[in-house]
Amino acid sequence: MSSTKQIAAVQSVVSDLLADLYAQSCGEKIGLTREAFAAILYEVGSKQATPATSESEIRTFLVSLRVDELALARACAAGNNSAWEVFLTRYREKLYLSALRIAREDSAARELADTLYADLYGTNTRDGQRVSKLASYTGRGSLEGWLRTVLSQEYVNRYRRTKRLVSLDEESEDGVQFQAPEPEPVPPADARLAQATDEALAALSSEDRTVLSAYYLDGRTLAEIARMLGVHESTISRKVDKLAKSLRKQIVTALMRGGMSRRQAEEALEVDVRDLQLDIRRSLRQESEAQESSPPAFSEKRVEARVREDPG
Amino acid sequence: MQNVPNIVRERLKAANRAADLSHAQAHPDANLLTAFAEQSLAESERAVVLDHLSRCGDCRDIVALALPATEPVEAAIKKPATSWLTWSALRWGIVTAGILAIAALGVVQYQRRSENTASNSPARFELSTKEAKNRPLASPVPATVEKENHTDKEKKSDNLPPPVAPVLADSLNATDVTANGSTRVPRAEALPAPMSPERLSRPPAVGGPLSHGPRMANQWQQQGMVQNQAPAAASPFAKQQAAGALAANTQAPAVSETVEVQAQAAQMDTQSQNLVMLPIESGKSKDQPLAPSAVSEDNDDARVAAEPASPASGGVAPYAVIALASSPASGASVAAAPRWSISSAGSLQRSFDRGTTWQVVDVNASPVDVASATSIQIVGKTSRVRKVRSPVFRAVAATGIDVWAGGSEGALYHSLDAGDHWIRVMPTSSGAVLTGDIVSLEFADMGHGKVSTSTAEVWTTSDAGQTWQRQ
Repeated sequence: MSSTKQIAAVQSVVSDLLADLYAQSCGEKIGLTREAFAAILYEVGSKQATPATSESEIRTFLVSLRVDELALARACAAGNNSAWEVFLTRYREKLYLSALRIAREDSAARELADTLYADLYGTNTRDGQRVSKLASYTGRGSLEGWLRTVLSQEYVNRYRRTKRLVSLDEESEDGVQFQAPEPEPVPPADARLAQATDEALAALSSEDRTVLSAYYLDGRTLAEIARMLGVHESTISRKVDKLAKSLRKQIVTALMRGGMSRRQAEEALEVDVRDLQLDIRRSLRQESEAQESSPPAFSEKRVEARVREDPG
Repeated sequence: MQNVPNIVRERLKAANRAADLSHAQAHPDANLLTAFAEQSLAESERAVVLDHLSRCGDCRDIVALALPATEPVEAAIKKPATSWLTWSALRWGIVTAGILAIAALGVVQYQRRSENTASNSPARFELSTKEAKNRPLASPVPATVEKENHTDKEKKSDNLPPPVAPVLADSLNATDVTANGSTRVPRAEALPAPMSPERLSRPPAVGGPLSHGPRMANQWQQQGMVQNQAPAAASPFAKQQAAGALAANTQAPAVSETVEVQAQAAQMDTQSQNLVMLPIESGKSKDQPLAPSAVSEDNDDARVAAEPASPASGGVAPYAVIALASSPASGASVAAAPRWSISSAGSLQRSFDRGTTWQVVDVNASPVDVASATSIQIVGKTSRVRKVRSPVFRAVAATGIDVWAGGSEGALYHSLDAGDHWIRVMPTSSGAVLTGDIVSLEFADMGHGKVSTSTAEVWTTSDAGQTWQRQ
């Protein structure tokens, strides 16, 4: 549908659902008027809608929103005091607790939470208008989850810059053996190997690749990956096993197709597999931490980051 | 765990790096990532996000870091109602029916003859049920609870509505009868030592041993007292247990469960299983008139039968039962209903000496060892025990030994025995669940209550927490 049609469609759905959704949102109690709420719904709805979206899809989408949390967030963004009272009661403590879980260290956590809190409150101004991060919440996920996500985003962005700094003390404290940075990955002796691997990986689904990357690159535990994807831990465990085996097979097959003998192909793989002390140790450590389901320690992430982000 | 060839890692890394450098990918915003993590994205959108995640380590990190602390442990119980209809459960059902039928006569007779000396004596009634080794948990409790209640009703002459009388009757006596036969109901092995006189006290007075005779009469009266309110309190409790048992579907070895139900402000001290047996024992030895058929030769074996219930509820309790930890009736008898308070740190405390000393109550305490008690824990789909954080309490309300405590994140706990055992209650109403921070609890009596949250939600119940309505 054309752009004007799209606007009209969203508007019509919004006015249809407004009464119900407004009641559900309890916007009145926190000082959000019906009209303001309608405007919010319209904004969120039209961001979501594309020319290809049907009216019923828009309707389903709007109905799926968490309108009460959306109303709260937007009322806060607008500066409504009663809304802030509710927000604080509900979320302030959680904000700090989540920051602590993410940053894993008290002062960093406080700083993280304080920064976000300031952003949420709208201490920043643009053109004299108070700008609150809460205005960008659309009610698609829970507000609590959104807060955690925003915290994590801030954390990842902030510490990405400082990832390269490694503290000797921290590492020895956490029991990570300080090791020389991994040598530059040796270019594969055989370009065919790289290509065969790339092909095998490309043939996998996004989800499989995500699982592999999360497990082997990010060092996530099976439990964490399972929760990220909303499946059971055993599902992930089986998947990783299966993928590891099948990748091996695929690569060997591809190499053989390219002219190598089976023996050559397997050797080509073996050579690369040799230097896995680091990986095995890491895997073992992760598995023993699987019960705790906690993100890798800060310093571990740094090590990972160093390894991951090769210069150039 | 298999390892992948290093080349795989390298190429994965390379792919990630290339994607990073190209800046071609727009990172999903916080709303999208949150919705992804909470599994509320449509398939097409989810695929797009997954595609991005397969190449972007930062966003993967964000999703992983943003995961909530622990998984929810509550699970709605959805076991079909028919799952308890196993033969062994039915068998005990038949036994119970027979027992009750036989007992009816004796009870009526006894009732006529029993004297009622004290009126309005607060009674404290303890139920104990015993699980046969190879029996599912489902049945015993509700039946026993009801049975006990009935018995109480029966014996209490005062406010005793005759209706229930016959049935209750001498389920105790009935127990007696069966105790001798081959269909004798197994008794609790974990029975504490036979009630010692010191543990009993007269209804009105607190503490002080009684002689067998008067105590007997009092016991019966107390028991009678209980029934009025016991069923109300006990049946939800029993239902909870039943529901829990259904879901858990465990077969426990011989266990004893102690459920304390207090009809009024309890003053009475009674030992668990022994309470039930008492009349029989005393009856026999202390000239308490009992129907001849009801008197058992083998009093020692006359224990409360754990009998399966007729389906107390066809379905599932409308709320989820989290865990029910119980222990043998050790110290479960208390002299009086304790006082309750919440510390500034949010911990729940009770005092049995009118506020002189306080003890912290852990609602998640005592995961008992199965050998000696029954523990019904329903946790998620995998039935795996998960650690539950101790909630931060903000409100507590008690009616005698019926206690409700509420706190952060919808933590609502209910105890029927002054805080020795707790059930987590999750009020649901038309699909909504109470998850807000509870800031106030008002319970006019055991059945009617009101819960308010920090977000101005008000939830009410008029059936002691079985069903809830959100205002």
